[in-house]
Amino acid sequence: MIRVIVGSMLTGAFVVGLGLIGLASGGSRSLNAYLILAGILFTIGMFGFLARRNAISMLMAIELMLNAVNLSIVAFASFIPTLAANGSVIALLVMAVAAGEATVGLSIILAIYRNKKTPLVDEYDAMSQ
Amino acid sequence: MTPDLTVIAPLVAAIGTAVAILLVDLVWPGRSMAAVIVALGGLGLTAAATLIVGSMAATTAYGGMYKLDALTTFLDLLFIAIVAMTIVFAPDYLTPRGLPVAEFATVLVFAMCGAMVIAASADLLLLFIGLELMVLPGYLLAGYHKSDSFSTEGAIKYFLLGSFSSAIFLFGLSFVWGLSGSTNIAAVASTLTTVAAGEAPFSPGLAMGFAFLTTGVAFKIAAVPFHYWTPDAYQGSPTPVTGYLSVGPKIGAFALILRLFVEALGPMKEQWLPVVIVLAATTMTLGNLVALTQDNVKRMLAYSSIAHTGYMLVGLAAFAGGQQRGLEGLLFYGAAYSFMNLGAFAVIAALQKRAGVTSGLATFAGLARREPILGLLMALFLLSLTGIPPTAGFFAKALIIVAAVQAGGWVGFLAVLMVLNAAAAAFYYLRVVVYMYVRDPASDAPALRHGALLWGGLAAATALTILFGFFPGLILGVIGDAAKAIAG
Repeated sequence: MIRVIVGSMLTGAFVVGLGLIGLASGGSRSLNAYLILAGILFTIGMFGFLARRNAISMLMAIELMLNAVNLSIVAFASFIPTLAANGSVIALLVMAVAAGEATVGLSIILAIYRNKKTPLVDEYDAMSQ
Repeated sequence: MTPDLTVIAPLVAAIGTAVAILLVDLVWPGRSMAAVIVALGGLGLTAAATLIVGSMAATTAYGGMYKLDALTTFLDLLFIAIVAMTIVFAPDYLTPRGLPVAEFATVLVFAMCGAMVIAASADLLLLFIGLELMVLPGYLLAGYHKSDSFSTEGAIKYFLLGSFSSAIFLFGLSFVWGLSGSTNIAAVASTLTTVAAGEAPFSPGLAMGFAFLTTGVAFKIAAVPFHYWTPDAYQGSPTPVTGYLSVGPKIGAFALILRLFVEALGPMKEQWLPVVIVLAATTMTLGNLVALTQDNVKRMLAYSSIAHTGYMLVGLAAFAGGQQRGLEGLLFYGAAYSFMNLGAFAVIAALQKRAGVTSGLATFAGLARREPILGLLMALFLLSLTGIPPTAGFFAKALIIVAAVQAGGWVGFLAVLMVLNAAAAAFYYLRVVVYMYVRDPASDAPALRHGALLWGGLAAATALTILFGFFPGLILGVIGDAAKAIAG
C-alpha cells in the first residue's frame, strides 16, 4: 500500500516537473515533447518497479525505464547536430546492455524460484531481522 | 602494433586470461588448482602489461574514448590485486561446497575487465559500458551458490536494485550528454565550465540529469539512503564473493565518480558539494550505528563497508572544498581498505571451510586458542579497519581527515564527525577481538588444515596492510600523480 502511494506521488511529481522543464527550457518545442514522453515512460517504469511484487514484473519495469532512456537518447540525437553521428550507436549499445541484464536477471529469478517456489519478492525475507 | 592496440594491452591480457581459464577447465574439467594457476599467471601478465603501458606518456586512443594516465595505471593495478587475492582464498570455501573454482575465476576476471574499462574511459558511453561490464558478473557471483536460498536471495536483491539504479544513472547520463552536446568527458567539462561561469544557462534539465546521476552512483557505492540492498546481498553471498563485492565494485564505482564527478562535472563542483557532504555524513553515521547492533560478522562488515564509503566520500568532499589532497586520501583509503577488508573476509572464508559453520559471532569465540595465527591476523585486519596505528587503516583515515580539516567550512565539520565515527566503530570491531581472545571456544573441534594458497593470500594482505601503515610513502608518489592526472 505504502509503495503504491509513494509510487503515485513520484509519478505525479515527475510528470509535473518534466512539464515545467518543457515550458521553461527555451530550445526546440518538439524535442521537449519527446523528452516529456521519455520522462513519463521512465516514471511509469519506476512506478512499476516500486509497486509490483512479482520479480518478473519488476524486471519488465526496469526494461521500460531503459526504453525511456533510449527514447531520450534518440530524440537528442535527431535534434542536436553534434550528437547526430553517435546517437543511434549509443541506443544500440543500450539495447545490448538491456538484453544482457535481462539474461542475468531471468537466470537469477529462475534460481531463486527453484529454492523458494515463488516469484513474489515479499517472500524473500529469510535474512531480515 | 598501432598505438591504439598498445594502449589496450592490459585489457586484452585480462580478457585472454578469462578465456584461458575457461579453456583449461574444458581440457581438465574440475581441476581447481590448474584454473587458479592459469588465473594467477594471466593476472601477472596483465599486471606486467599495465606497468609497461603505464610507463609511457599519458595518451588517449580510439578517437579520444580511451584514456591512459597515472590514474588508469594505479586503479588497474589495484583491481588486479583485488581479483588475484579473491581467487587465491576462494577455493578453501568453494571446494567443500562443491562449487566450481574455474567458472568463479572466469567471471571474476571478466568483472575486472569492466572495472578496468571504467578506469580508462574518457567518454561517458564507455563509462556506462564499463559499469555494466563490472556489475553484471557481480550479480552472477552473488548467486553463485545457486542451491542455497540465502545466496540466491542476496543475488536477486542485488540484481533488482542494481539494475534499477543503472537505469536511473543512464537516464541522468542521457540528459547530461544531450544538453552538453557531447559524450566526450573533456568536451562535457569545457561546456560545464561555461555554465559554471554564468555564460550559458544552468537549465533545469541539466540539474535533473545531475540529480539522477548522483542517485545512480549513490546506489552503486551503497551510500545511505540508497544502501538497502547491501546487508542482504553481502550476508547472502558466498564469503569469498562478499569479500570481492565489498571491495571490487565499490572501488570501481569510486573510479566512476573520479572520472564522472571530478573530471566531467568538476567545473560544477560547488553545485554537487552540498549533496556529497550530506551523503557522507549520513552514510558513515548510519552505517556505524547499525553495525553496532549486528551479531553476524558478515552482516556487521557489510554495514561497516557502508561506513567506509562515507569516509571515502569525505575525501571527495575535501576535494570539492578545494583540497587536492582529498583525492589522494580517497585513493589511499581505497587501496588500504581493499587489502584489510579482503584479509578479514579471507579469515572468515577459511573458518567456513568446515561445512555448516556460520559467520555468527560465536564462530569467533576462543579463536585465538584454537587457531592462533588466524586469530592474530583477524585481529590485525580489524585493528586496521578501526584505524589504529601503525596500520594502513590509520594512515588512510589520517590523510582524509587532514585534507577535510584544511578544506574547512562544512567539510571541516565532516572531519569531526569522521573522528567520532571512527571511535564508535572501535566498539564493534574490538568486540570480535574480545570474542577471539577472551571467550572460551564454543566447540572443541580440531583446527582445520588450510592450503598454501590461502596462507599466501593472507600473507599478501597482511604484508600490504602493515607496509602501507609503516611506509605510506611507498605509494604516495603514485597516488599523487594519479590525483594530479584528473584534478589538473
